[in-house]
Order: sequence, then C-alpha cells, then structure tokens
Amino acid sequence: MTHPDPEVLAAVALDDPTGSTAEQAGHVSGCASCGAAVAQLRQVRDQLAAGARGMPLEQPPTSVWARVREAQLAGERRGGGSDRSRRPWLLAGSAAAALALGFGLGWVTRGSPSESDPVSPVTATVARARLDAPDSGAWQGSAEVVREVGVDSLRVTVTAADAGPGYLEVWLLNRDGHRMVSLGVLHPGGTTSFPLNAQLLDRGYVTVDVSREAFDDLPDHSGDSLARGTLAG
Amino acid sequence: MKSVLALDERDADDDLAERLAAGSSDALAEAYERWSPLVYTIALRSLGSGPDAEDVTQQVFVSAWRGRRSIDPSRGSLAPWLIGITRHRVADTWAARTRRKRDLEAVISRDRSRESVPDQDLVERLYLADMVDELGEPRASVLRLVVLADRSHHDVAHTLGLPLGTVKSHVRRGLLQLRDRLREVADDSPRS
Repeated sequence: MTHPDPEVLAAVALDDPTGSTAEQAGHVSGCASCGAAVAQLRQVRDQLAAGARGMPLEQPPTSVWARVREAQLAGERRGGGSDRSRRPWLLAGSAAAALALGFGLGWVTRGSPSESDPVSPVTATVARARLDAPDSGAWQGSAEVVREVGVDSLRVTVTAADAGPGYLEVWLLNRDGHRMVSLGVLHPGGTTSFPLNAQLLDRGYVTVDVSREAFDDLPDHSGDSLARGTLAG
Repeated sequence: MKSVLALDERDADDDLAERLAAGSSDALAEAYERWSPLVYTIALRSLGSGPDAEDVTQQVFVSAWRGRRSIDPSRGSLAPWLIGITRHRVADTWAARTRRKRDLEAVISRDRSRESVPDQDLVERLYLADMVDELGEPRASVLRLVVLADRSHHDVAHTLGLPLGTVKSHVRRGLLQLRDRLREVADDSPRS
C-alpha cells in the first residue's frame, strides 16, 4: 500500500488506535520513512508537553522596549551609531561649542548689589547659560538660576519653541557626561520657572538641555536636543 | 510537503515582515510585542541572569531594526530570523562572561543550565509553547487539554461540546502544524 495520510501518522504518534486501520499500522511499523515521520511527530508532542510545564514565556521589563526605541531614534538621527544607552550624552564637539560660547560672552552675573545683605529678601541671578542648538550652535534661548529668599529656581526661556507633535522637556545634564535629571515640561512660549535643588549644581548637574519628547510612556531623554548650554556663575 | 497552516496567520506574519523590512516603526513595535517574550525567555533560560537577558533582548531588536533591509518577507514569520539573532547575542554574552571571568563558577562547572549557546531543544520547546496560541480556537485548547493535561478525547469532546471526530481531527492537524513551524526554526541559520 502507499504511505498513509499525514493525519494517520499523527494519530499513530499520539498513540490513538482509532486513527489508523490495522493495515496502516502494519505499514508504519515496517516502513522507514513513515516510522521516521512518526518518531518526529512524537518528539514534537513530547516537546510540547515538556515545554509548557512550569515554563511559561516571561515578559521582559518595559525598560527594555524604551531602550530599543531610544537606540532606534538615535540611530536614525545620527545615521547609525552605537547603542545610545551605552553612549554618554556628551559628544565631543557640539556641547563643547555651546560651552565655549557661554563662557566667552561673559554671562556671569553675581546678583544685585544688595545681595551682601543676608536679611533682606532679594532676587539674585546666581548663574546663567545661553542655550544653543547642539548641531548648529544657533542661539535658541537662555537659562538662569535665580535665588529668592534662599530658594533656587531655574528660569528657562526658549525663543523658537518648536515641540513638533509632542512637548519640550527640560533636563540638567551632569558634567560626567552620563547622568541627567528631568526638571519638567517647558511651557510653550515664554519663560518657565522650575524649582531647583541647589545641591544639583554642586553635584555637577550644570548643563541645561531642552529636548523634544513624544507623548508616550517613555520617561527617558528622547535623544533629540533642541537647545543646550552650561551654567556659569 | 505543503504547509497546513491557516492562511490568515501566515498573511499576518508575512505582512509584518514586509512592513518591518520597509522601515515601519510600528512594525518594530508589533514585532517586539509579539516576539520579545520568546526572545527574552530563551536568553533568560540560557544565561540564567535577568539583566543579561534584558540586554540580549534589547540587542536583538536593535539589531533587527538595523538589519531590517536584509529581511526576506517571503520566508514568512520573523521568528526564525529573530531566534537566529538571539543565538548570536547569547553566544556573545557568554564569550564576554568567559573573558571577564565574571561567572567563574559556571565556566568551570560547565553545568547544563549554562550552555554557551541556546540549547536547540530549549529553543524548540519555548517556540512550541508560543506557537500553540497561533493555532486559533478551539484547536489550541484541544491540543493543550489532550497533550498537556493528558485528557482523553472523549473527555475533551464533552468539556468543549465538540463532536469526538472533530476533537481528534484538531489534535492531529494541530500536531502537524506545529511540526511544520518547528522546521522553520531548525532550518534557519541567519547571519547578523
């Protein structure tokens, strides 16, 4: 006889006697290729049984997708580079240019004349930065650390605030080129003031960065910086 | 032998591969949603470390995106290709571990749970677990009840309210479909 249909072989592999005639079963036991097919199907059955027992598929944490997305966007923007999650935010060149501009233009202001009087409530500008576009160095806005009644805040102004379809977020980047903290969302048009913990400046978080963010559930920096500048003062 | 897989499932998979190859960002997200549990679990079982498995999963999908132009949509499901990339990343991680001597114990003892590449049997078992759902209902439930829960055909027919002959047909065809799917995973050896 000819080889039985695949479903018959499957029935034999499943040890279901109702799935094959005596003649078919006899053929299978004497036929090398049918025997091999049945053995293979038996292995699939065993693997199915073994694979699921106490071994469910596990979900990776959501942070993994965030990093994939980050790398995808960074790669597109920079024409394919190394994995962004491994690369510090500080790139040789662009940020250095912004830094040089900040210092060169002498934005340092040591506050108002009455700062020497510790009792009177006074608003003093403790540090300032000019914010430039990272690639072109074109001027985008400014940031200043303002101290009022001993409480610091960071006032950020960005002139051409183009958030695209999302929003703009303000960050403080650390000198180490790796760490960063988010201060919050920039209000479209005009100046936004963020409460600032002075300790951040002491710990090296002195570079102001404004990024374009999408309305998604990824809290990390998108990698798309609109403006950046380092506080001096 | 012609594949007995349902046409609907194949079309959805082909479409995803095509869209990803064309550079659709949504396609990457869909591929991640569909296949990241399988990739992650293969890495986790092979490396025995959550953080390492997370890194591998990230690397696999970043590699998939960067290598998207090399996808051949006519080969159907993305799974064999992604699994191939996973094998490489797991092997890389293991090689790095050996170099760093970070997991000295595992290197010295060479016990079975710490293979340098994902065990083929492990990959197949996990892949099968993932594939059963794709068979649709009631076939997936019939297969699970008969093969995993070890219930009789009569019992399953009664429980699901199906004719006995239908239950038997579902089990047999389901097994054949899974066998066909497994062949794709075994045959593929992509380079990336």
